[in-house]
Amino acid sequence: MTKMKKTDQDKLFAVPEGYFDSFEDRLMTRVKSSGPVRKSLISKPMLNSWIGLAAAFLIVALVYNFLPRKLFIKETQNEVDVAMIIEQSAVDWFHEYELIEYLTSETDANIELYPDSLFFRDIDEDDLMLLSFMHF
Amino acid sequence: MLLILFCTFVVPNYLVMHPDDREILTMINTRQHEAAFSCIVKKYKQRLYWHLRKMVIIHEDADDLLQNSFIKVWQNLDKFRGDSSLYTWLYRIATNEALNFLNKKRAELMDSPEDLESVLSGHLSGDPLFTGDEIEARLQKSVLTLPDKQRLVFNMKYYDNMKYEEMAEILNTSVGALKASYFHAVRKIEALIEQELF
Repeated sequence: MTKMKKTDQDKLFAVPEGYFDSFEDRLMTRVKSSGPVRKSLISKPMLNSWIGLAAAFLIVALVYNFLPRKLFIKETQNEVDVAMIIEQSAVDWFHEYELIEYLTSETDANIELYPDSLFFRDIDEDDLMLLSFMHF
Repeated sequence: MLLILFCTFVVPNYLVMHPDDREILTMINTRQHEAAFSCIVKKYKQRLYWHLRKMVIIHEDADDLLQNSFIKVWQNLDKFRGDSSLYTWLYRIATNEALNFLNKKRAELMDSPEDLESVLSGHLSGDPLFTGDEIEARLQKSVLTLPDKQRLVFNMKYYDNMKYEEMAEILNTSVGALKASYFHAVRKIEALIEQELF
């Protein structure tokens, strides 16, 4: 290919006289009949600002929606964990039937377990306070 | 005398500069569409014409395609974001117009004994608007034997002297593929000319 001399394209092909000079006029006639540029109602810079603003609001909403809940759950979860430890601690020490069996077998068989409302009926305040220290 | 002629004719042309692409983009963004479009047409009509003419050979077809390309530019001016250069965008529109036109012509000639290459080649011989000599005519006829996209690559590289990177952006192909395509195009054309098949 390098052996052959490169030819300018305008020497290879010709155009009718005045073609390029009159081109724009002929083109504009066709363009006017094709209609105006489809303009968007919102200008591009304005649209970009709105999109940015909407994106910022979305991010804030997502953060507000998820982050406090996570924190809240964590604290609550901590409290639950502590409560469960306390409960488990209390429950693990004595199963209910074991407690009943212990109380009835080791002590006088006449002891009967009454509902709390009856049990505490004749106990005064000082005794009640003492009992509350024993309750876990 | 020469100085006077220079100041009278040459200097004013330099002073009447076409606005660069950035200025045109500013006009588009500020909705000065008509002004932007007018600048685009003035600046790029010849380059796009010659690109189309080399592909479709016939002047009337190139003229139609050039107008169609600019109408598409006008209708989509608002969508041009400046991601690529203005020329790349325009070139891409014109290239697609040319390829679609050639495909359509080829489909129309489906039932004809002649194929598109023969039609265009025959037109070259009798075209008063083809001003090349015999060797150049043979070269053009050899180029017409290439597939459309390969012909495109050849024209852009050989005649327009485009860089492969620029071609890659316009044709949405890799540089490597373009280099390979051009290499094979040159080999084929050289073989055809040496064998004096054209």
